Amino acid sequence: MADVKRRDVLRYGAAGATTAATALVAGQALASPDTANTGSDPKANRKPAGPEPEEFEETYRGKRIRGRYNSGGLTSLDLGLGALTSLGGDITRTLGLAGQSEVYVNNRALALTAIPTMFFPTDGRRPYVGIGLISAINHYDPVELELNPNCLRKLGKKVVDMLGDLELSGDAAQEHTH
Amino acid sequence: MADRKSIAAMTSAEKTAFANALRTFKTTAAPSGRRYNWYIDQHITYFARTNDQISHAHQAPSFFPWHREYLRLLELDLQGVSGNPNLFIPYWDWTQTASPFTADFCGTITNGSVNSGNFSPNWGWSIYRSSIQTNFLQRRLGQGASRPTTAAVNNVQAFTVYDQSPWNGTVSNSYRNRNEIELHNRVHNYVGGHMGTREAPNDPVFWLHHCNIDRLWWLWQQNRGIDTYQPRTGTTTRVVDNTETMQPFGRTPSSVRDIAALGYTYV
Repeated sequence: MADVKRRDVLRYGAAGATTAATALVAGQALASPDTANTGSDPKANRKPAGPEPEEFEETYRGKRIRGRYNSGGLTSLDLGLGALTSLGGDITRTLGLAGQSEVYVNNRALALTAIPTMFFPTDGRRPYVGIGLISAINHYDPVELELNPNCLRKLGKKVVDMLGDLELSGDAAQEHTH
Repeated sequence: MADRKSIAAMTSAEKTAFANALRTFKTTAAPSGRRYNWYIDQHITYFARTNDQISHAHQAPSFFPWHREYLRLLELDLQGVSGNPNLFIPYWDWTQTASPFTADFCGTITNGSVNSGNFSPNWGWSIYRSSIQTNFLQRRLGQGASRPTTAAVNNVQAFTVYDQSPWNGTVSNSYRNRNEIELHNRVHNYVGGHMGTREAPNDPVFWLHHCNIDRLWWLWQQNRGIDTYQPRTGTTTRVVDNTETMQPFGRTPSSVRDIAALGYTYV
């Protein structure tokens, strides 16, 4: 059974806040220099809703991972466990947080989606519920959201591991919701 | 009636027939009018929450029935393009040793790519809507996860409640959710490459894996009752109730609950 204790309720609160930062709009593809899409940048007139976004960049296995983590000013949002789970797969849309954070691998955009899900640790801890980040590449293997850019770094590295010597295609930038 | 066998029980001729039917279907429309890539399109479309605000295929109660109908249609289409009414989708019991990744079946892997033989481009297998920039089918066996053990399967099969609110990926006491995450997702991640992506049906082993998932649901139904789908009728928004239609099929979970009525069985 899932271990849902106060710690996990807090995890939910934190995750709900970071969900804001991690759902990505298709506009990301427009901003990518390596994608074939053309058109205006939908984020051109967007004002940050909260604290300054944190940008990050590093090279991992020969690939450049860069991105921007934006909490959207929702770090004080207090979502209890029941409220968050009841949002279901519509959490991204409900929180209205899409499009504020970004991940690129070798300048190719990766669209992100937040899902509420169970996690099954392999280190002996009991299963728990949290918010996971998935993309076209790690569609069945969510990375748990955190209140800092490390979750996006982890996701970028996971994607690089899965790509190996290959690159993302333009399809990886297509947004979808759960 | 299709008798769905384990890959461990298949003859060489049956493996060849299955692979060749998929290759033919890749370039030839079935009598239904569908083509193979239609299946990839549907998986991508219905993996996401659609405009009706319903999750049809994943992270929702209809995960099992949606894929049951999805596989049934493919089986019928493969029978149609091959002219073989006995052709069946085999199941891959990943707790056992028999592997589908062989030269005479789903193809072998070199440095993560299927670049020669069955399901390579030269053989006649093209990749569609790939989020990985490549023309070759990709696999990363064991990199992202290990295969579920028999004990893990038994643990999941022991859950008695089909599903319950909030009907998503957070439900602990739910046979559907535990199977979807602990078994289904894990094997997608075990194979890796295209199987780890939303366009997973690019890999033919997708069908063998989901056939085993369907078999496990059928075994569970035989223990817990065939008509045990939850939620029942008219009570729940944003998920498919027992008598609501699943898109794009236009069929209800109730209508696919009995595999005998659908024209196949597991042997």
